[in-house]
Amino acid sequence: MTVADRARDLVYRYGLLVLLLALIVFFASTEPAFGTVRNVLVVLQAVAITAIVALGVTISLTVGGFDLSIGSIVSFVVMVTTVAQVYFGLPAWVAVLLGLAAGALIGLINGLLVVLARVPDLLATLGTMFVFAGFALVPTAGQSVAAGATFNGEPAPGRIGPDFLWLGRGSVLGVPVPVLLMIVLGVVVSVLLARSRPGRLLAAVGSNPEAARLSGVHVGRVKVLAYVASGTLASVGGVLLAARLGRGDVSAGSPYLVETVAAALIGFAVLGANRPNGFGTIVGAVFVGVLINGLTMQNVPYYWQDLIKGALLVGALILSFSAIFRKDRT
Amino acid sequence: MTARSLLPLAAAAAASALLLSGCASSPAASGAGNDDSVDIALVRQLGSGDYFELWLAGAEAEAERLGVNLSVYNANGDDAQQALDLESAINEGVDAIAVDHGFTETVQPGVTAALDADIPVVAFDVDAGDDRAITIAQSDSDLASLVLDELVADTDGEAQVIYAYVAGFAPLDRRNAVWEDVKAENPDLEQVAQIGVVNESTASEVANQAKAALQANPDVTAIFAPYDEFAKGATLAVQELGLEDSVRIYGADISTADIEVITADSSPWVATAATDPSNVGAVTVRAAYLAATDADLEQAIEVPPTLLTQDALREAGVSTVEELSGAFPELSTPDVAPVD
Repeated sequence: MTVADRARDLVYRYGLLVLLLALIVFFASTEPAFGTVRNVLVVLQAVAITAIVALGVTISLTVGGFDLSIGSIVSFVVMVTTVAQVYFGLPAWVAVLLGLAAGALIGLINGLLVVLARVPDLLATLGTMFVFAGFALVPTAGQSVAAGATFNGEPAPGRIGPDFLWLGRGSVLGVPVPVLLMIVLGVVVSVLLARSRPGRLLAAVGSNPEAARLSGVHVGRVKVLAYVASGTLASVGGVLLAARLGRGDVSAGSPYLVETVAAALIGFAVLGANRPNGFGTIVGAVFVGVLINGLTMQNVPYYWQDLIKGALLVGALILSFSAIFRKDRT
Repeated sequence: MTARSLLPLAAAAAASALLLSGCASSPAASGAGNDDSVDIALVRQLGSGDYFELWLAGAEAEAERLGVNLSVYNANGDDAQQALDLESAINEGVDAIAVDHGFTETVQPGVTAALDADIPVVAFDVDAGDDRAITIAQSDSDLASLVLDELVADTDGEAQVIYAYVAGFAPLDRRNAVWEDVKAENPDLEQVAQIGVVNESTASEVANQAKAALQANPDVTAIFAPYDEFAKGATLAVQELGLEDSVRIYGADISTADIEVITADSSPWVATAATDPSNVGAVTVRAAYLAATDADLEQAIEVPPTLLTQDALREAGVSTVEELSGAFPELSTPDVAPVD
């Protein structure tokens, strides 16, 4: 291995992490408020929901699928959980279960469309994206859900309970609940994908479905499972978003499609994985969060923030996909 | 994996564009065609969201009171569709057209065609691009002034302020002009940070920005957030950082969800100013009705906003926008474009 090869390999493996570290050092030295423990939690809380939903995207990417409906699932679950509580007066835990079930069900529908109906994944999830973006508006006729809203001409009976709000706003030992969930789910998904048999099956189906089929894997079943997992993780994000906002905001989930895909794609470049991986996805989400937080502290206006975020994504994609960094891998 | 993984990103971008553009709209006529009554077409850029729903409810109620046949075209954010809707409304041969939001560039040709065909046009919150059209707007400068008077009074004109603003939205630009004036008149009001982003998830993203700005500027005592999604985000930020005792938020606009946020215990959002969306919808229908019946009408109609403080809202015990006009009668403005 020549020196140039070695340098290239180092950039490929650690380039993104070093850049993240450099950014953190830069922001911390120019903005005293940036490096505080409190601000670390602020950054993590800002990215927690994106990161959790992005873990779902990571799973569907692993089987070579792509879930465009992810933002709609988040929106739909926000409405399901808040409508259940405000319009029907159901307790928080029922609302959470309904929300998770809704996400899993949409994932199942996506999976069956792709596997049984043989609709290409992008088209199938494009369809369900519209269906559930619309469905999210149906129960409330397009209105947001808040306590005191009218339902069938009468004031809605319920309100969003404190237990439910705790999921989005509460904290355990000073750490916000969504951050804890992000860490737990991040570890679970990373370990499952990299170290477990189901994870290897997912990767096998993603890299070569035909070979996987010939070696006895139920390719269809694995794909359906991946979409169900992806939909369920998106619904966890929807529950947390509803709890943080404290109301059912119509289409609050829409931006999550692009944000989470960006996080998962940036994650390809972490540690030279060059494939969807749970740890990389979390790093990708945190990277974007650090950028937004630091740039806001520096009073950089929003249009520059989008530009810089885009440049980061392009850079990470070059790292993952460009021939410059591609060695002969088996 | 390489080539396949790039395709989805492109598709994702295309899909979000598709989602934004929505579907084709069609008019939903609310009454059967009857030769004696007045037919008004309402051509809307957007129809979903609390504000637009309430607006429409007010417009429909007023149409029913006046015996107007109101046909509603909703472009769902698709500007090209709104231009087509205008043409359809002209072809329908209505007695007046009310244009609700939109961009001058897209609505102007249709508006001019309608006026040339002797169909009067009233335009709410959009510059129709033709002097013969009657314009209706809530007074954004009055709205900003009402709230900023509160801010100046509460702080004695001396405070570090975080300001939420995104350029390019006409109402926000008009509110911004007032803020610039107020800053010039009160040199001790120091704007230490400017935040803001507008998308489908404005509140939570503004919350993240506001938290960063509050951390970087611990001496801030006021946030001026003259759009309710900004104010909601700022409120979330102050609550999540536990700064309710030191930071006050001055917002704008009102919705049922906003009322809940403002009147909640220890909410930092202390004042807002707004017009009632259903009242504004009603004013628009009345103006279109007057224009259709050749009655006297001003060329530019302004709907005055009302200051709504946290104290007043709590005292009135209102929890929905529908209840607001009962507690704050000045929100109803039957004297603006009056029809008995």
